Amino acid sequence: MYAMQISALRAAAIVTVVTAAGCVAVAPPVPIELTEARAAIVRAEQAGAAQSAPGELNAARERLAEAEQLLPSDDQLARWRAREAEADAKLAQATAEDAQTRLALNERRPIP
Amino acid sequence: MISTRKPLTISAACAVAAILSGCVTAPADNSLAEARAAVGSAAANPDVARYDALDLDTAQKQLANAESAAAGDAPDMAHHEAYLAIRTAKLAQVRADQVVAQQRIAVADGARAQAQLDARELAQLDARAQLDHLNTDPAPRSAMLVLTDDYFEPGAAQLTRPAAKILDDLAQFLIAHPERRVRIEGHSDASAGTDPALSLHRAEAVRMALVARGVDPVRSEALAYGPADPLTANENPADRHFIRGVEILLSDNHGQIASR
Repeated sequence: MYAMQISALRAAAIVTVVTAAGCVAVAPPVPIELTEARAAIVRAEQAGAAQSAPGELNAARERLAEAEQLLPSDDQLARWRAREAEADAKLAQATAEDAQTRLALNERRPIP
Repeated sequence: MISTRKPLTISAACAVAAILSGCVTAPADNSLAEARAAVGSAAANPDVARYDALDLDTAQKQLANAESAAAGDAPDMAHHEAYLAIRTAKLAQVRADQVVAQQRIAVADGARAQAQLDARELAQLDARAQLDHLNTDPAPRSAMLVLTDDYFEPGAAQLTRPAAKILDDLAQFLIAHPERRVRIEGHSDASAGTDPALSLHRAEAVRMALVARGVDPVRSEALAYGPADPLTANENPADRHFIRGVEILLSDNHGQIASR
């Protein structure tokens, strides 16, 4: 019965998990929101957010960790937290890039 | 919505999350007010409307979602959408600010490039004016012509095209006035990384250019000064393009070259 569910309802696995609300042991694929949040954090780190936007970067990491904790039991809330983490990371990246631009601008002052 | 279907599970998870992350979850009504303020301030910034309308639009939609979730008694979703709206509104502000800074950089670079161009043109104009004066000078006197640093490829002895044109005219002048001799003096500065032999190489390049244009080699000589004897004082940055230049000293009708 359980094995049948895996083979027959693989495509609907997420729906099964959501409707059964925690009573299903099938490991669902990692929601795309978490993957995207992780990628956004990596981009922010590469942009130098650890130096220029540590608050936003830490918020992103904390929310992603929350999302990972929530994942088996509360898929929807995990997705929301992951989306929030992604928003934090995008802000961290933009802040770091803006800081780089400002640094470059300051190097050019005073304008001759 | 799932949040309305199982509110107990989510609010319990929220509480756990708040403990885990050091209370990042604010009450929904507070975050909604904060989101309204953040989106309002981004929308009021003309730079945001001009340079990041896309993120502003997203923030406004997220705020609208938060408002309707709050009205529909879905506080968790309202809080989530409000949080996104706050972050996206801030994102729009930061990105717009960055575009403004990038534009300032472009203006600064443009002004600097123009200033460099002006100095270069001015320096080349000087040599041309000196040569014109030489050609129209009724009394043949000892004279001097300066090929500044701008007449050479950067850091090299190779002459640029404007320099070649000047030397065309100078060679013609020398061929027309066989009684005049020429001494070519190279200069260098004390700046680090400069090839100490560059001044000599440049002076010789000028001499060889004149020889190649038909000026008898015995009529010219090339020598160089070290960094201790620059063409102009090193300390004035405006004179920088004269440093590492080459002086071309012309004799009078009797082959006499005025000493510096």
